[in-house]
Amino acid sequence: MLSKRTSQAGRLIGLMLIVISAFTVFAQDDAVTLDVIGLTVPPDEIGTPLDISRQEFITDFHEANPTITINAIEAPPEFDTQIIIDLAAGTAPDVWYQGSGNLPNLVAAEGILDVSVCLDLVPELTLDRFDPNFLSIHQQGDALWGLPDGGTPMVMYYNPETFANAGIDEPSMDWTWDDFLTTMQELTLDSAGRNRLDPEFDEENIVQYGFRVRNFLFEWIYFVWQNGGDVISPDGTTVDGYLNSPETIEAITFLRDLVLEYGVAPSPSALDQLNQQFGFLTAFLQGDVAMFARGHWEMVGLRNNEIYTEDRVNIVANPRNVEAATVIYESGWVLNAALADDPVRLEAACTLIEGLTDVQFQSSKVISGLEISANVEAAAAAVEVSEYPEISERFVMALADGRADYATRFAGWAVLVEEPINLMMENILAGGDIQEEVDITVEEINRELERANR
Amino acid sequence: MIYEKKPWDLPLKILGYSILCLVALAMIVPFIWMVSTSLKPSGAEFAYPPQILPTSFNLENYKNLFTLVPFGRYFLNTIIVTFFTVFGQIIICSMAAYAFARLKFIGRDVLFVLYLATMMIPFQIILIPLFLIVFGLGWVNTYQGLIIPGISSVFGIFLLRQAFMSVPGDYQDAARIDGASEFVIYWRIFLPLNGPALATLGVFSFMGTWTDLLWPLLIARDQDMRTLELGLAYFNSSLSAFQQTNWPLVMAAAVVLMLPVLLVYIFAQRYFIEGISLSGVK
Amino acid sequence: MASTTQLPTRTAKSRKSLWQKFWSSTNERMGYLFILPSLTHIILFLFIPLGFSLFLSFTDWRGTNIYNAPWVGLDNYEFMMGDRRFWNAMQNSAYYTLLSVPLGMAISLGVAVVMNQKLRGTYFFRTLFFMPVISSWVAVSVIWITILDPQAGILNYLLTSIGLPSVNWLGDPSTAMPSIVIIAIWKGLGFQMIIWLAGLQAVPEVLYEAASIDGANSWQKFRSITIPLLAPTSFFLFVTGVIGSFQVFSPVYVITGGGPRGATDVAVHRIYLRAFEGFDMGYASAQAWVLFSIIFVLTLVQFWVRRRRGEETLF
Repeated sequence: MLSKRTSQAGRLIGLMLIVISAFTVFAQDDAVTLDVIGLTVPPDEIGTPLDISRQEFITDFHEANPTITINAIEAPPEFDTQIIIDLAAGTAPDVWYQGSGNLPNLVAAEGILDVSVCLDLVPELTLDRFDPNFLSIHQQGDALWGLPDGGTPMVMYYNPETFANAGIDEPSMDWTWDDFLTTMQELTLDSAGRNRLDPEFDEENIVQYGFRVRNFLFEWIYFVWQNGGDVISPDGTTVDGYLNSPETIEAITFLRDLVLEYGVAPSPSALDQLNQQFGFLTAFLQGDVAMFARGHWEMVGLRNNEIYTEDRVNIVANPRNVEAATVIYESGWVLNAALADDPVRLEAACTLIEGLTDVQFQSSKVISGLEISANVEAAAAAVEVSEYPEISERFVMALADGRADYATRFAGWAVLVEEPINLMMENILAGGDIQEEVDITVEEINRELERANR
Repeated sequence: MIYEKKPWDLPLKILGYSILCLVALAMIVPFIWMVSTSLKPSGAEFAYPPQILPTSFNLENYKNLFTLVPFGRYFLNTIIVTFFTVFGQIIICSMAAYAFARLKFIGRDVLFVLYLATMMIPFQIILIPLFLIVFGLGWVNTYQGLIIPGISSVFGIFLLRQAFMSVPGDYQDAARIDGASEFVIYWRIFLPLNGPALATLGVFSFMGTWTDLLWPLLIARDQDMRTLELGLAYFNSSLSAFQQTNWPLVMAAAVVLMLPVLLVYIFAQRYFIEGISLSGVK
Repeated sequence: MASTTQLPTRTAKSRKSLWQKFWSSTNERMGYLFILPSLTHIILFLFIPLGFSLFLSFTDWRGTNIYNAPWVGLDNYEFMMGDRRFWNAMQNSAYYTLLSVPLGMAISLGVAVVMNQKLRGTYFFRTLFFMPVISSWVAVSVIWITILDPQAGILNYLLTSIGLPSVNWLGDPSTAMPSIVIIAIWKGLGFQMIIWLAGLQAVPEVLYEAASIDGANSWQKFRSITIPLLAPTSFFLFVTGVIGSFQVFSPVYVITGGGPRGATDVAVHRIYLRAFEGFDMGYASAQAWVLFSIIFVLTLVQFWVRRRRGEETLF
């Protein structure tokens, strides 16, 4: 009997121990370490302001959330390859910084999480902090694939000195294709200072070109949009009736003619020469080419250039024709899909991306000058403190006409659609027949799209 | 080679030297350019006209390489990984090569064709399955994960097999009559006789391991496990992808990476020659 | 064994004889022991991944969860039949192989023969020639991009100084692939030369001496002694050269990215883009297996030609 009682007591104590230990385990479980890619810098940038702001964020965040530790992992080389392998093996980080052009691929691979769950878990996280242009990139139907961090619309950089050389006014933010073409003709100068509209113009001695035309779709897709055309159907299933529509062909012809007909943009080989001889940015800053299309990040390259001066760089929105349009490139924070199975870690990760996108951290990293913050408040503050306020303001203005890059909408875009179109344009700029090139490309892309949407 | 002295010996010699010097020039000029680029400050690499000889002597890039990353640790990792890979390749490949070249067993030819066939698959396509296997073995972030997948190579087996086949059959027969076991024949006759071929394999596997990037990229996750090439590749990685490549730094990294391999080659070259004089074939 | 009795006698006999063969004294069973380490290695790290990629080629696997890979049968292969760009890339690979393998072998043999003449300083030259082999493709690529530059490049400077027109090497679709070939030959010369040298040095000197006594000149000796005796070496270089050339990737990836106008878009580059930029692993695996089959058939043909010619057989 006695033995039975003691055994009962033993059992009771055992049970209590289990309960206690369960609590301690639970308490320990509360402390999580999140693997994060995107909060470090390459070794040669250690100690730069960007690095310091990220370091401070990590420390401050841990202080504010003692149970969450951030394990900041360096971004490996060949990141987009690595992440897909990591997802396959289950070694991907919990949270990472991702160019939004990869979102559809990651969604198709079921590698990332719909972060709308975070809105319930972390009440401080509200979507009104984001610029709708950036936010919409992450919204697909009811799903929210990550949170926007920042990005840029494509704009036109110009060198004011080249306008002075040509004796014309600088462009205005609401200029049109007609203004654009005339400006380009007036900007293209020979060694005697005559412009393209001068019948005496000397073809052999061009010292200043108007614009840079390249084959890459990301530098001209908005010309198609401006003309009321498009390259692909809204549902992404066909390019027939879009890439070969009259509006699109007209836009392509307009661009080709800048090189081959009007001669206001260097031919691909002339452009190669400039690139090799000086590097393109130097060629631009010394006035060899007056304008080129690019995003916010180019400010960094330009300001680092030896011959940079403030008077040599300004930007203007893209010209409009039927409508105003440009394309937006953006990056954001995404969560590993595997977090869905672990509520504690999920909540920690949600707290983290709330912190990463709030005004404080977003304001501290604008110094990098690479992009516009997706946080509206931080973006507005950035214009105030900018070293080039006029340019910063114009970037924010240009954002209003921005549309999402199609890579953020359709899986496999880069390989299935963009690359064939780049090749098509390369052939057209080399003198290929437009209709013929477009027809082949439409057939080829549609074949791929049919398979992809099977 | 002993050639008789002929009247045209001298012109031939001059011709030989001219050819060698011409080829040597074509080989060396790009490297001088590489070294001089690594001594330029960042941004000055594409000056026009191109400057072949160093115009500046800026050791900043080298200093950065050694101070910004735990260079000693990377170096040690690389040496460990390379040593065991080369050692393993020489042993495992030569054993298989001996069997394929000199032992007649059933299924040998079929197996050899299967081996050869694996050389024809582009590595990129088995990358993911291979990683999944190594991951399943729990070898991510370990030395064995870095070493064992590279410890044998079909190329090495093929190379050594060709060399072993050229050894006269009498050597093998004589040893067998003396009662030597196959292992003794392999170890005491075939390995010493094929010094140059083994050295060639050693140099190639050394080189391949020393400069491999793709595999360490997947396996070495912690900074402590990184190899030299991988550590240097991090200089070139930026998530934003908007930054311009710092070519002088990349060139300095390339010079640093190349030097040990060059030293090993110079050492092994001496061994080729010794191997030939030891071989007894001459 | 029970099943054996039910089979026709002929089969039983041949099976028995295979069994007997296995245990007979002519089967050198030590061989199995010798290949065991490499066989284990190859099964684990090559055959299994390969089998897996073959499986993937019949699926539409695009993502992370392998258990979800949708089986599509031969769809990937069917689609490939009409994939204009893939076949264009195959053609480019073939063109690259046709140019680089014979040229590379011939040039490196020439250099190896000169090196074998026991001139002073060969030690120095050998080291020099080997430097490109041991440097990384990235470094080599940057160097060559500058050398081949149409305006500022050294090569065009040399051409124009001897009165030839300058060439837009990497920018012109007709010269881009030959440029890649030049770079690849330059980088591979040292490697091929070493293999040739090893072969050359294995040629017994007695043969040359005997030929000299018979009054043969250098060229005759080269043609009737060196070339035939180098057959195993040249076969090795040819086979590995063709295999390697069809797999060319790094210089294209780093230098031209497949351009200009698709002129250097080779097969592995296309496969790589599919797999790692398009996340289309299933289709990329199918492409890889077609490429593999082509290389495999080509290699078999080489073995067959060699055997028919009665040259030293491999087996």
